[in-house]
Amino acid sequence: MTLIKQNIFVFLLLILSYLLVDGIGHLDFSIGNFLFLPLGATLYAYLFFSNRVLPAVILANCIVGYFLWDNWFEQGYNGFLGHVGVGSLVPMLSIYIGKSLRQLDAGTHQDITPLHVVFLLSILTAIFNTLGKFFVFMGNPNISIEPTLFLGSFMLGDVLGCIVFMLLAQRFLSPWLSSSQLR
Amino acid sequence: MTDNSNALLSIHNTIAFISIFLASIAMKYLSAFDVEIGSYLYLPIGAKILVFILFGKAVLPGVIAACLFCGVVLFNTWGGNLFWGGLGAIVGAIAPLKSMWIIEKLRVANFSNLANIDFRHVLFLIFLTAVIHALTRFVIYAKSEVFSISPVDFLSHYLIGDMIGGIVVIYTVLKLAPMVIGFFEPRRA
Repeated sequence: MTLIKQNIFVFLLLILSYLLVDGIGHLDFSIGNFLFLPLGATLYAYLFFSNRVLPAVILANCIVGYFLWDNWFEQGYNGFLGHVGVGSLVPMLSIYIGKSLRQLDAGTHQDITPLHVVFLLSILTAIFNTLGKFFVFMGNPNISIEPTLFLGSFMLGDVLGCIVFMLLAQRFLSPWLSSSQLR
Repeated sequence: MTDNSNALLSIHNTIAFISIFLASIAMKYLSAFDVEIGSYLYLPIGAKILVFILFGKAVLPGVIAACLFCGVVLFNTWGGNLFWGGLGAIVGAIAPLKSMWIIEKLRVANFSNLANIDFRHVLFLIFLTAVIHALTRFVIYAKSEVFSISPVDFLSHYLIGDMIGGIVVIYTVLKLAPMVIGFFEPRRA
């Protein structure tokens, strides 16, 4: 039952972050958003609830991409692969690297992550997300991308989005979550 | 600064220069190199990382000199583009230092104390250096408009080549160094 509640909570959190991003900035696959909060929400969800919330992350990404972004801005499979495939899995990869570098405690949930670890995970997630999406989207001849603009905007937006969301969530969300029945 | 420390600094810079030059020659004959495509075995990045780990940022002049010298002598002045090629080489020389600075600021490892770092920290340094090196070179070369580069080919070659080259050089040195030291060490009865 707790697992279902956690997945529902993460699903709602991601949808909310997507709606926020949709409301406060430009959103396009060729130029990234300069405050991409959903990546930070995904990172936070994996840190707080571990990998068990992957179904909620994938479902939220699919629903947003298909309905809110009109079938990933009409990119179909490439959009799905980049947004859902890369976007859902790269935070897990950066957390794994963080654990390998002994910056995170292996196998335990993180209530409060130290600031330098937040920066490390945000930078790693941004690098993997940007490069992953770059290689996926550049393979599609239908998308016209200016490479330097794409890399710069995605990298900056992902780093800022991750750091801002993680800091806000740890300040306001973590205390409430720790005392709730969700853990 | 005393004469001794000056002499030591000169020796360190000379070692850095020779290491990078030898790595560049090895890369040229093992896997070839084209500035617009890169190489799948970019050995000089491993040599740069190694000398920065061993000697610190004091060897930066030697590293920059080696990068510029190799570009002019071995790689035909980067296809005749001295300014942009030289700028890329300088950025490539600074990339390991930037990575080390980021890693130290993020408190992952402290490279000034070699006793506390292990191979996974070095691997992470190689990865971060490869990313910074590939991205900065890509931005410079793409904005220069004198090179004809394919973004996907360029980035994939530079990223993979830097990582493989870095791992090969450092792993080889780590394997060879104990053997060389053991060879010269006096045998005990």
